[in-house]
Amino acid sequence: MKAIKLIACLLLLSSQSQIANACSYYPYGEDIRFSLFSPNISDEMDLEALFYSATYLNQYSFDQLRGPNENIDEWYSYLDGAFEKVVIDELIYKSSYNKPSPKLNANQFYNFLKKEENVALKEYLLFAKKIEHLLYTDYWDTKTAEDIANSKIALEIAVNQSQAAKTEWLKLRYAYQGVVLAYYLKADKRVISIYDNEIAPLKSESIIAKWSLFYKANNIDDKYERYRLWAIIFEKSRTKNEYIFKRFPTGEAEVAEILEHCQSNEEKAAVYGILAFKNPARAYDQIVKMVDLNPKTSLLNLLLVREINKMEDWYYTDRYTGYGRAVQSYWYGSEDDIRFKFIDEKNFEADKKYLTKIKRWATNISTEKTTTNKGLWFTSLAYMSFMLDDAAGVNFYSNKANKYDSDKVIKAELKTIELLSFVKFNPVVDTDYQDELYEKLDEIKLYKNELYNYDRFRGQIMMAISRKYLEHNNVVMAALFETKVDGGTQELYQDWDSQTYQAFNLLNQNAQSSDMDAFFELWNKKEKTNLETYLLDGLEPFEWRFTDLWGTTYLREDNLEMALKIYETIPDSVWQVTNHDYHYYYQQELNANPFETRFSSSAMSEDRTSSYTKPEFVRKLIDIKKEAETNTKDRAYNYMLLGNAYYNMTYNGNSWYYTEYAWSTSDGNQYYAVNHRYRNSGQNTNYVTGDRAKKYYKLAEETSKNPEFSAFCYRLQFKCLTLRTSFAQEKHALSKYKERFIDKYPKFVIDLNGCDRFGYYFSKWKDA
Amino acid sequence: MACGKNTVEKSVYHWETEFDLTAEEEAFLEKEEIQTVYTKFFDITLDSEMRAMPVAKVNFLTAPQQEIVPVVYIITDVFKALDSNAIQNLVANVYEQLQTLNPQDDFSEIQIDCDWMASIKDKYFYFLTELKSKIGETMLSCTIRLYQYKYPNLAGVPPVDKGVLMYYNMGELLSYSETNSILNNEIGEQYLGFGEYPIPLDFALPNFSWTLLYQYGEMKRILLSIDAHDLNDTTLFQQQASGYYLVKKDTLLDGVFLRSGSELRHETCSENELIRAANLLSPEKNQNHTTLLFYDLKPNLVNESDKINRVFAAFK
Repeated sequence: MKAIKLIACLLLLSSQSQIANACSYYPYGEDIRFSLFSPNISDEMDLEALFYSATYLNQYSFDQLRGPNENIDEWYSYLDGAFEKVVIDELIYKSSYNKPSPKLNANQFYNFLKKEENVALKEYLLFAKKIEHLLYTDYWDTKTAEDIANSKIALEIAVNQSQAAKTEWLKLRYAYQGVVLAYYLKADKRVISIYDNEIAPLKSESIIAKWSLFYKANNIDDKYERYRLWAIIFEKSRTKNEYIFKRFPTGEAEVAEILEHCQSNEEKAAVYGILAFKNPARAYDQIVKMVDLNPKTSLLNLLLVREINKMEDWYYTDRYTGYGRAVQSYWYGSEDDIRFKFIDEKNFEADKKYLTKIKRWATNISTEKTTTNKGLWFTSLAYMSFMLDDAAGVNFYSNKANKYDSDKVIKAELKTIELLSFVKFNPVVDTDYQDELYEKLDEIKLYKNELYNYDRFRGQIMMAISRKYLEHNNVVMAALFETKVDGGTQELYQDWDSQTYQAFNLLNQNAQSSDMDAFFELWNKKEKTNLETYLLDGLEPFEWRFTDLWGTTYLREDNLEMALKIYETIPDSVWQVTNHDYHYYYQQELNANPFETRFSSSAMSEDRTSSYTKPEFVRKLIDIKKEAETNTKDRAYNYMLLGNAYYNMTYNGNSWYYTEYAWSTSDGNQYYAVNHRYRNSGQNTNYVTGDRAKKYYKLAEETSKNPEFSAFCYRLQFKCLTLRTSFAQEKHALSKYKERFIDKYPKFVIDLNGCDRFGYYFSKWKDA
Repeated sequence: MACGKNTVEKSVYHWETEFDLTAEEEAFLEKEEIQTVYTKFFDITLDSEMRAMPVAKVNFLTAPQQEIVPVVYIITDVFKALDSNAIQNLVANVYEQLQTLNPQDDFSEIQIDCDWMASIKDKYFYFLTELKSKIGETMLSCTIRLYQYKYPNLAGVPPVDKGVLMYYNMGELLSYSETNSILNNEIGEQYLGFGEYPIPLDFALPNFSWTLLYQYGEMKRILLSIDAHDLNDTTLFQQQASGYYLVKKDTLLDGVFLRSGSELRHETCSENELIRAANLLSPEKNQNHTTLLFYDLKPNLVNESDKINRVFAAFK
């Protein structure tokens, strides 16, 4: 036992060097990426994979059509808009020859093909359907000999049909089928010959011609010529762009060679366009070069959106989700932390400068005659103005954008900007404001089918609003909006079990008692606004948890009377729970004696003989305080008990559950807890400094009449200081304290350095 | 240790998708009398419908002069997703695929690389058993990680003809305080000396390098394309006392956006550490004829013939 105590004491004396590593993993990339500029706003759904993503390619799929929009659009025009695009998609892409869609009989396009005059079209589609199963590469290359033989037959039929067809529409499409069949048969020369002899002479602008050119390009030996053709295809069509994106080189020498091979400025512009897409950093230079060479390039609109999405990511993701630098608890207070903070601020300024530059450039482009979709450009400018905190700019460009008859995605984005600006630039929350905000939130719902990844988008709107309120020090509104953050984005206050409960997490980390007063004032308000009703919806089952937190904010602030008053409103049964109904197993966790004098630095309690519920504990604390202040008998002892109680509520204590709801080793050794996590909360610094405990141990030392007990109480103050220095960079304070110990209690220093004799010194309270 | 004359053979892994050896690489193989090149033929992963599929298939652009042993890397999720029927199909597909890709007449050995754990052990071992019955006399080998080696009772012993102990990637890749996650003998030696492994073993040592990108003290990604030469560019990087290279300005390098203030840790395998590793591994040999493999056949290996030979000598 002695040996154990000795080890414990050594740990106690050296605990400032105790290192607790933060968890190595934290969410990143798309799990946390923040974006409120809907990437589908440039109407480029065929380029969905190339929408900006924190990872290499965008994985989310939003497109309602299974087939490429560009081909369905061509069919739509060819059929004079007689059938909706979904109807065309149903027949061409959702039905196979062997497994026709069950909806086919009701498909108008299908029935249209049954008419005599449409037989040629029907024959073509039947042919395409019949060979569909041959046009794929099996993962394991298990094509049968029969498949190969059939492919060869089909190839000849396709070429013959192309030559025999009476319309360019069918000639092109049959020839295209021939090209693809030859490609999968690995008949390289045949691919090229069909393209050159059957497709090129048609001089078609159809995307089918571009797709055919793609297969030809892939069979060309001269790689630079292949890259040149890829660049043309990338700009003129969309379906093969992901393939090209993955394989297009970016090396300086190779790009120079490709540009040498280009035969026009348009082709060079397309090369720069691909490079801009491949650029995960600032692509301004490449975009500008592209536009200089080809002001009419079709790639510009999406590239603008991509740049905005990048800047949003760099600007907001870490700050709003609490991850990235913000979560680096391990570093807080260290020299690294100071360095990282400096770097972060410097990068933020650089990003802001870039945003300003893009906005200036976009302002110029938006006035050009060649600019298509001006509604998009003005909406982009409005959003960039929002990012730059320019309220006048938001109004100016939103008004301009609203003058255009834009599609619903742009309208949805404008509504989003309007909502975000309303919160950002109007921090005062009165009834009128609330009504208007509620209306604006409601309006966004109307665009559920237009906004990209709507659930995530809406969740991020709520997060942005919540964070804005937090910036405005309106913790209550921040917490209530936090209950609406959903949609899959991982963030600091996220609760996996209950989204509504996220309010608790935010309040726990940020609220002081005055915030909790306001929270419950709102909770109990009889005439709630629509917004308040909406925000409080779903919180009812958590009433006692929030009430516990309310009382705890007072306990953190050492306002014991108010804490007790609030705790006493909670039914006794709550404190007796042995399940997970109320945040934690109260009875199970509050099972140590909080007044115990602890001789080691371990958080484990040595005394399980007495335990107290929260109200019992606070009541007892009040009683002991009163006793110590009014009665000289056992005064030093009572002060020591108070010191024990406050110490046991710290990070190192056996009853930290009285003031905290979670404990992490990553809190250890970090000034983080003082400077960051608890900076706004009523917890203040006591949890990690033990200052209150130290105050009472000092009073115990000063009021003790027994020098041995005084020395012991001085030693307990040292324990508090050790806790403090394990978080703060105040190592020198410990050595000063040790020096004073020698001066003050020279007789007892050696005894109290180790802990073998702690029991003896403790027992002297009776003489104190 | 088995009785008889103990011999050690030198070999290398080839892990690129294009088998396109340079003249220097061919000369290196010849000079070092390397008879066998363990060549990764493909990886097996899952598609969106949880079907096993081969990716990154090797493409032989030059005809190999040495014997080729195909290696197939399988991600563990494959065995989490597949049932026994699907595993049987996988065995057939793997076998067919190897035949299709094989540039030579036959194989004397096939190697499977999978970082199996207890939860998928049964399925993985079933796969190996089925594959072995399919390939008959051809030797089946598989890779063995250090923890599988130390804890055969927990991890199981794979039903193969022999294993190859991978003595690399043992450090804490994510840790800012790590100095070398590729080769860390302090960690490595904790896994050695626990008795003879139940099946014959070959050994694999690293001789590669990579650069790790850290932002705000957190590891962001592995950069294979940034080498020591790139890091010597003082306009972009500043070497610090900690050994990290500080990114001086926002930079796009090889498709990676390096933010100002980020830090890069270049990890490589020094001769001293490799020799120490060889000394540590040598007593673990358990067969008469052992192969020592180096990962992997790349320019740095070719240029370090002397170093490789000294490591090899230490292992013999």
